[in-house]
Amino acid sequence: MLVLVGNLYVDNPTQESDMSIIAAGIDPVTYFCGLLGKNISEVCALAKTALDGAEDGEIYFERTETEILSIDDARIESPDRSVSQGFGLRRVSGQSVFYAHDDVITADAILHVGAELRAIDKHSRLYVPQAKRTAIPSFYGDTLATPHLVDCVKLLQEIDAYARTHEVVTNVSVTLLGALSYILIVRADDTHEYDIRPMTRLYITIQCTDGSSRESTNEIVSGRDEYNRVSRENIWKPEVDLLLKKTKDKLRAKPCPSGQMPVILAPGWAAIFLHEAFGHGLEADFVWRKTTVFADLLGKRVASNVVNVVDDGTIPRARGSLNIDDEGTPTERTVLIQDGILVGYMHDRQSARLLGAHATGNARRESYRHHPQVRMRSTLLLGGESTPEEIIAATQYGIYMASFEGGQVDTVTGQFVFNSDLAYMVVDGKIQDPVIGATLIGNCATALLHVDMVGNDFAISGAGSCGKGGQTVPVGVGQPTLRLSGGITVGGTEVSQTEGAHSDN
Amino acid sequence: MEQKFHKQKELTVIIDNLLDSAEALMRYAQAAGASDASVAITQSQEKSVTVRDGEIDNLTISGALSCSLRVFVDERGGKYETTSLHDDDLRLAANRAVDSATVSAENKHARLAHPHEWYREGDSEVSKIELDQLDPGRHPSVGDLMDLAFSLDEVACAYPGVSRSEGSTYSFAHEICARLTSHGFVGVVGSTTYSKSATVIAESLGLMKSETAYHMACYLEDLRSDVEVARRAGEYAVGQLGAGTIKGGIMPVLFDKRVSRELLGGFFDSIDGELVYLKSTFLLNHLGGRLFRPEVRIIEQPHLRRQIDSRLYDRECVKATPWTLVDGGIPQMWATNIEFSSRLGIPASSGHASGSSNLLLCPTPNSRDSMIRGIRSGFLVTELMGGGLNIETGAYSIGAEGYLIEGGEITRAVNKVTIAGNMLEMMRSMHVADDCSDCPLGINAPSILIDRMTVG
Repeated sequence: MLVLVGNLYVDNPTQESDMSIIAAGIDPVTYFCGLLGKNISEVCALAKTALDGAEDGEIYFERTETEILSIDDARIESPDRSVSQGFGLRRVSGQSVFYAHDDVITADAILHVGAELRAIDKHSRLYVPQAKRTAIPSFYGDTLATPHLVDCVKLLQEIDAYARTHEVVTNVSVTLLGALSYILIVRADDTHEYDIRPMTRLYITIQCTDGSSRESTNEIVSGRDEYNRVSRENIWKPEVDLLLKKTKDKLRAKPCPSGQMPVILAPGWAAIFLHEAFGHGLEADFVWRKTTVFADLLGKRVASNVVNVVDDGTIPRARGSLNIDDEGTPTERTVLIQDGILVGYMHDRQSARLLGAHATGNARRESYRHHPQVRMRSTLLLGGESTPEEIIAATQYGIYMASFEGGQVDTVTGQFVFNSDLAYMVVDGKIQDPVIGATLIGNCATALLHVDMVGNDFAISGAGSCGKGGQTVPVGVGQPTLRLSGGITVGGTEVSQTEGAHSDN
Repeated sequence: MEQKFHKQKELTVIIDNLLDSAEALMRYAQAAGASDASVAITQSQEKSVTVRDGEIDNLTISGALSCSLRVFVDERGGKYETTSLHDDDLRLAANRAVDSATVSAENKHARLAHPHEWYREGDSEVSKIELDQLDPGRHPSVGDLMDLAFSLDEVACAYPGVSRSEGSTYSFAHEICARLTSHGFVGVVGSTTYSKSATVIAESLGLMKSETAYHMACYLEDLRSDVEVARRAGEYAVGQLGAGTIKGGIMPVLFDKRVSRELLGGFFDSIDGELVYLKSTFLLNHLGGRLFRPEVRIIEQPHLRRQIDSRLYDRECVKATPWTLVDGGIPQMWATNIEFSSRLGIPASSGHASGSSNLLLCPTPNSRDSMIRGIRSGFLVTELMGGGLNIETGAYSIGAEGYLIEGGEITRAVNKVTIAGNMLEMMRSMHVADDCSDCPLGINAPSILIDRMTVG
């Protein structure tokens, strides 16, 4: 089993033969240079040759070790374990990106694909350099010993057994994932960066019955940290209790009514709404391609003056955090919306060049097999002044959305639709019956203008996986309790009883 | 024993390296405590260029090296995947796979294939077989593929009625796979795949229709011509332009050979041994009994030469056999791998751990033209989308487009059609025609007429 010591994984140190290469205390620079049989200056020279005539680009080396262990229907499934390593060569010229990748890491392989990409690039440009960095801080977890495979099996069985002490539970499924990535990014301007990235993830699904039907709900706990973080009882037990409550509520939930009404969003995971409806629209590649409704709104009001939104890569141990992005730019806390005004976008080097901005460290790729795109990190709506109790008490009739299953956004028109898997009606300032089948419909350009109350109970949820252009990256979302006083439509399956309430979809 | 293949110096070196790594990994697995092990290492390259409007739209150049290790520690199984063949990583893989086995549940049904289940060179039936899937010609560069793609794009745009192209692609892939087991199996296979595709848009009076046509082959010279691919895409797009809607009802439905293979694929999926074991296929009780009309015959031809889908053995090293899956309308067998043949009490795996191989629903003497002439009011399906077969219940419901058949003739194009039925009823009544598809991907069927389906 992987044991994290000093930011490196060591496998049961007494068994020499089982030691991971990474565990020998080698950093990514030494490791990949060793594979190539060259020192780092020679590898920089290799990058210069491979990227001759390109405006930008890099060689991205990666080694990732992954372990996945699961229990389902009380049976431990055979563990999924793998090592994936290789390089990607990216050549950027104006608006074009040419990409090649290979699992075989040799100088010949790099030069060969470099020549192939050179041959089809019609242009020859000057390479845009980046400044050499001083020390980059680390936002990943600390180093602690982690358990062996046998202990991970015990953990899954423990969670399974605890959940099943409740009679209503019909099935439990738990997956524990641990991954460690070694990254080296070599540019053609004699600069290079490296990173060592841990990730752990605990995924729990509980299925319950009320005697006649079944429902299930899932929760994820994840972070750039070692196993201990997700495997302690004081972390997973409350998650299981929460899942039980939500699943029981789903079983007794009624169909949701439709209409225009105030919507209160729960803290934490409900911020997936923010990520999908607004985050993607503020990714600068959509801005220079003019495929987002936010393309011409810099400096304009896009939200009410109590709304502040940032995209942050620097939160310690968070799933969405990075020390450097996948082009080698250090991440930062990027302010997107300040007091309701759009003040910035998220950039990679290409969008920064094309739009005259600075790179914000948002270039991310799923693996060395993919080219980087502008992606989010931890996208957060910052806390405000009200208490969550005040927000609920101030609502005569509305809906409280606890979480979302998913949604779709058309960034070009700004239209979005979100599906909530569990919500509660709010009547006379109190939370009442659970409802299911609620959808939220509105437009990105106007929805946030109607935020009138922002809670002081900010929470971050490190559970997201975001898809764009066929690539998935881990992200985080966060927000406090907040209220949208209007400007949004709730779609539901209930036949409307209330006068004046009607479905607008 | 070794699969015969075309040797070039570089190829020999690649193969020797793969075998060396595989043998080393096998030794390490056994040293780590595995009682049995199997190793598969695949080295592949792929290049693909898509062009549109005189520019490169998309480009892929990639190489992959994937190594899968499967170990047994008595009756417990473990596995490990790696893309690194460095010695330290092979040792790591061996140790971790064995480690994984120790926490897995016992499974007495999963095991390696025994020697008598392998493809054997000494076996007189197959000793002369050469699958011939590796084109010895020079590998194209990305520049070559780009030129070919631009030519295809020109031809595609020139088809009468086509207003523009949505992308023309040329690709090349090359793969060598070495497979070893601790029972002594040694197998090496190599293949090349060339492919081309054209997506065109036909436009007229504010109406638009897009269609993609493609072809793939092991040998470059076996690829359909650009003119032919452009014709298939353009002709279909133009033909479906301005498609109307259909008045619903119960009527005969003729699945054109463009799409009839999906029904054949559904049949094969439904005889899967794992589903039979779990009792979750609608064909559970139909082995050995009349299912189709007597003239229906479904076979596999794994040893066809220069075909992408051909194979000598599956991923468990069990030999591929030219089975007759359905004869005289009666299903003869389930499609199994080692574990599920054992669980079902069947003496041997049928060698289907990697799926089907050159599956064919045999054409019959029933003329497709006379089938059409015999239809007063019906629907000819030329495209299927969204939906499909529920294998547990046999319910079949899917989106479709095609043409009306009125008074024995194909009349006008229709789309946004849904067709529904029960696959068991469909199988009982299906009439197989005399034409046949020629999809290079290894599942082929003639046009199929179903007497009654619900169309809307």
